[in-house]
Amino acid sequence: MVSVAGVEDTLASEDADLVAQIAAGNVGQPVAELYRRFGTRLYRFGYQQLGDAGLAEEMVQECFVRLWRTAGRFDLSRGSVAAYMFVMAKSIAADLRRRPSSRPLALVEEEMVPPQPDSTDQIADTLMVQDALESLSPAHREVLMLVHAEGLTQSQIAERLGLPLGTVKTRMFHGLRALKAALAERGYDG
Amino acid sequence: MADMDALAEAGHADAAGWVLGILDPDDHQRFEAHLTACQTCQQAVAEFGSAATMLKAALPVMESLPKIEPPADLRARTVARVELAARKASWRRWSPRRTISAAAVAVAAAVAAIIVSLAGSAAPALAFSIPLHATSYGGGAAGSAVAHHTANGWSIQLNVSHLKPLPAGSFYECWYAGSGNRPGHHDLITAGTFTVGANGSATVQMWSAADPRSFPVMQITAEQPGDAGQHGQVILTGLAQT
Repeated sequence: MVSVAGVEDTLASEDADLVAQIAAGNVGQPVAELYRRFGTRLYRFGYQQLGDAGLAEEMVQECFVRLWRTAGRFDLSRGSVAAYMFVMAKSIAADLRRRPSSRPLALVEEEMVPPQPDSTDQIADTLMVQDALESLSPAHREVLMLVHAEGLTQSQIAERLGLPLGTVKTRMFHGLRALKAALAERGYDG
Repeated sequence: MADMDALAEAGHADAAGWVLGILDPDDHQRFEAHLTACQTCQQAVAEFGSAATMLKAALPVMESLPKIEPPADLRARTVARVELAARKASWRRWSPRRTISAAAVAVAAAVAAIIVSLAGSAAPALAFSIPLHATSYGGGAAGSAVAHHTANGWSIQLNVSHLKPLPAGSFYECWYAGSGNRPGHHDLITAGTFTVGANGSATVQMWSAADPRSFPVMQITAEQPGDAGQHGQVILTGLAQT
């Protein structure tokens, strides 16, 4: 069995290899692959930060252009590619927010602006967990999503799902293991 | 780490519930007593800890986040934009004149076209195809364009379909955009305006002095009368390809 730590190292290294390919002038395929890995999360982050789909698209595209411009300076020993991209995304979102000319022509209705969690780091982490959960099997995702709901215990979760307690325990165990691997795939180095 | 499948089936699965803080009181007490003597479970708890912390912190915030997916074509557009920036950088490295404004490029292209025309020389056989795809504002719109270099500038044949009919006086506008174009910093040259019929389609012939090699992105916007410049959202966009 491959340990989670091993998967994490391999994927972080793969991400860094893709950035190195971009730095070497091979742009298309590595950018497409990095978009596959990070694009949805970056877009959701942009939408959450900017409250507009068009600006979120602009943020994502600019993020990859900046990655290309700075790829030669990327250093894996200082942090993962995921962390690097979200640092850029935060900066670009802040720039876009400051530009009056970049506001959408149709004003965003107040009630359409999503609630603003406390920090951009928290949002970035949450989006990574959400993305990782979406990659799990429905059975694993189902039990993990109930972990925080109303402070349920395992036996209450079992009751709610109509499953034997032993099944919930096993799914919780394997689900958490799968989540750990999925987070590692997405650049989480915890 | 030891084989997790065997662990789970051997009754150590409460390691996950313990790090998540969801064990029932009896199980909690039993597992903590077990944990002090079980190195395998200690290892499992250490292994799961960070994922459990991330999950518990994320779940309450997740409920407040918008459930939204990026447009299907954003990946292709992002790759195209980075490739365009890389190509532009390559051209700049090749060219001794590094900073050319949009207006200067247009003027230079126009002057070059006139000189070529006056000299009676044959223009180079140069053409670009520009497949257009709808942005998130474009609905089911589609289109394509072909730009041919001639002695008098660039001849552009544009075909569009499924564009929404606009209110009287409004019109669609075709733009060439440079790679530096972005919100608040326009690097754009208009290529012409047009309207569509009731079926949302149009075949349009336009002329421009702007070179697609310097302005490789075509954009179509809907504009209001009396407003110079690009004010409408980009509805169709595409990259010039040889």
